[in-house]
Amino acid sequence: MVKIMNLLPLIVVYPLIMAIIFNYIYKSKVIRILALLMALSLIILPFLGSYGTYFFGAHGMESGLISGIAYIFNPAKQIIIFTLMLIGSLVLITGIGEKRVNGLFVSLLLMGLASVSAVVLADDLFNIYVFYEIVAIVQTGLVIASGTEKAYKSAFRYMIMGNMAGSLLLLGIAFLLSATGTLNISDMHNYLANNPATPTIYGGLLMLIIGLCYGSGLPPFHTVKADIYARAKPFVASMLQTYSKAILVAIMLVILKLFGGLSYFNTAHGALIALSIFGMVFGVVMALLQSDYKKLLSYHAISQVGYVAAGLAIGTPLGIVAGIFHAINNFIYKSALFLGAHIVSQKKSSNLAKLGGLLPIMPTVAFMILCAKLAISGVPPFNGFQSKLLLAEAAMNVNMPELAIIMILVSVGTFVSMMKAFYLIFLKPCSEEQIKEYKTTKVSKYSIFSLAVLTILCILLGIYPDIVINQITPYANEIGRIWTL
Amino acid sequence: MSYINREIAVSLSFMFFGAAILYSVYNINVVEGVNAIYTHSYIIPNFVTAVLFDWRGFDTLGECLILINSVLVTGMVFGRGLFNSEFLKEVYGNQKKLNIDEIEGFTPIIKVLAIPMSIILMILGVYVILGGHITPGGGFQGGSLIAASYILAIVSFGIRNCPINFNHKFLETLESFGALIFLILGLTGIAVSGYYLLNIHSLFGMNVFPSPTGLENAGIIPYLNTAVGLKVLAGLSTITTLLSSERVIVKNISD
Amino acid sequence: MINYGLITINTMFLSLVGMLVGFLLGITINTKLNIWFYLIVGVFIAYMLGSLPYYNFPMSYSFILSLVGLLFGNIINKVFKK
Repeated sequence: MVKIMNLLPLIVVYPLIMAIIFNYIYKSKVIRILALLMALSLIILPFLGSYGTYFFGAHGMESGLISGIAYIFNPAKQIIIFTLMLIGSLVLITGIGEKRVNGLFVSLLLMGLASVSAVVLADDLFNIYVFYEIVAIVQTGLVIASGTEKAYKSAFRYMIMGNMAGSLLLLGIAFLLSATGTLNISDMHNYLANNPATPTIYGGLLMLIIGLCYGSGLPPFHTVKADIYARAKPFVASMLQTYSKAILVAIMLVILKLFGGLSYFNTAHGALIALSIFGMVFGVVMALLQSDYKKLLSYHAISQVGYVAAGLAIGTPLGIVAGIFHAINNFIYKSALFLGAHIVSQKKSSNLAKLGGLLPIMPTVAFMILCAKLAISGVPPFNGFQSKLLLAEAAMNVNMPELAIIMILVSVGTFVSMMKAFYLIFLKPCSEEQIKEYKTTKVSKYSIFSLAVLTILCILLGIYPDIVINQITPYANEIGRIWTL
Repeated sequence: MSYINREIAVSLSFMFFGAAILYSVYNINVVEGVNAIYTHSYIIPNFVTAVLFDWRGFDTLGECLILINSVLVTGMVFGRGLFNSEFLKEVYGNQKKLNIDEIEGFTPIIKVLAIPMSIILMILGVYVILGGHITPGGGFQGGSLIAASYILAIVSFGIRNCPINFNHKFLETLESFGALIFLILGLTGIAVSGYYLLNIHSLFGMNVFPSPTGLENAGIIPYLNTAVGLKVLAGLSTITTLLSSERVIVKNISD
Repeated sequence: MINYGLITINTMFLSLVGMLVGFLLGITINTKLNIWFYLIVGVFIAYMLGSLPYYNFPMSYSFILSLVGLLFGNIINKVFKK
């Protein structure tokens, strides 16, 4: 019998190899062509591996414990990674249109993609930590790439916070290792389920939650995270927020897998739901106050993180499906919004007071941005509606109508601020000179192409949500636990 | 008043947090678990290296990449590959004289001693890298030693007259090469058996790393060690070069 | 009679890798190095270090050969500069 070779590690290794090569040829003339090829080849990566557990270096089960590093691959992870790679390649394609694109940018982007996929795939706490650190550094680098003074400042602040949160996460992993004697998540769960809890395990859980908050931008790290989204180039910001949300999903699933169903997890459960509510509310309240389009979008990104976290933190199978589905939708429409902001700021600037009257200049782009805006506010034919409906349903099923009400209120807030921004950018009347100025500046075709792809996906997932939900459901049933308040 | 309130809130939260950590640490009760497997199966004499490069080789790859990434981002902070370098031009563009390059270094006594010391340190670094699978040491430690010898030379001579001339291209090549060796040696594992970073002991009936009796299982570990060593040496030296010279920024923002 | 240990490809391969790395480092050194000084000091240090376990040599051959590689690289650097 011929066994088909499992090429699962290539999802991580291939972008890493290419990242190093791109860094080496950093200023060559063929960068654009190579980046285009790279963007196309990224999309086939998630289909290389076969489902199941993969052991690195053939170190599998030995005397009842998994001795090496293990990856677990299943349809849910496949679809998360596919969306991630799709957005990565669209951002790369957008980047080709930039004037000063170089190998270093491409290299950092690829490193980030590889590391986030590793975090999603890994079934090993320390491996998650290592790649989590890489993502933190990559995000710093991508913010600095925009080169303004504010970008430097916010990046350094993010990095300093990252040092603290990263070392706390490492400490937490060390606690869990010492208490359970293994780093593999499945083994660790078995140990935790069969042994009494110790204060060390509580400490470990606390540190994991801190790492989660930093990685995803939940409070108390929301201002730092929103700052780096706002200071980066908008099309880079769409990548940054995708990284953060993928990390949120991955680490949240790890926490649920480790502690789900244990008696002492209930308090932490409550804390996670509270954190996500804070994220949602803070994000949208801050967003209503902003006068800069990029900042507005960044605070909305935080608010959406709150939604995803709330769905996952509920922890029932339906909640997990809703959370992951919302995360995937979020990758898509939030990236579309940031790409729209990129096009708008290419036209003039991202300051809402200076814009206006863009609708007759670029009606197609305006339509696509409107679609994304309706999707983020949860208006029916779009994908945001489907996942928000599922989220509210999940909240109702565990007897938490308050949570559902907060979600709906935050949605209303999102709709208000999004429509305000739409009016200020596209509909507000403006002078003749400004229209002339608009006509002289050109927008790169690449970014419009990426935006169009994302908009089509928004509508497609809104009409046929089952494509994604059917893939996620088995994994959610495996991890989730049914409970009511 | 609100300022004081904030201070009190911060210090209280620090206290609670610190107490939580101390309480957890105080109650640590180590379970052996997977450690028993690591300490009871013999691969190479240095069990730490066995864990680092064989059992958990992929983690070590990740750690190397953290270093690579830090070097890339440090380069970016100093103006390499920015989308917009106006801020750096504003800060560094008007400087006619670069004072840092004119520092002549230390007194002749230090200069006379510095070269032999850094060369011996370099060779010691190579020795530590090579012995990584047998004695305490390894790629990270040896690479740091070599980078330390470079730093010693830079500190005593200044960047311009430095006898050890690790130029930028050389370091970049070394770093990319080191990381690529690691990644591609992992891929050979896939080619041979389907497992990434498999420790191949022998290929076509020959030992992958010829070594005396007792070390037959070393396999690809010494190569990985050397790759990591080259990479660490290049990475740390690049950061040193960047930090010790403003010329890099001026060169980066000029084009 | 001094016992130099068993010299085969199995025992010398490590030192040869060291020689290669040393050569790589040596070609970057610009100043002229006093070869006899370094050799004597190197042999002394190698003797004090002792050989690696499992390699039954009287002194650390990997240290000496790395040093030789570095000095050789330095000479090559000097020759090609002129």
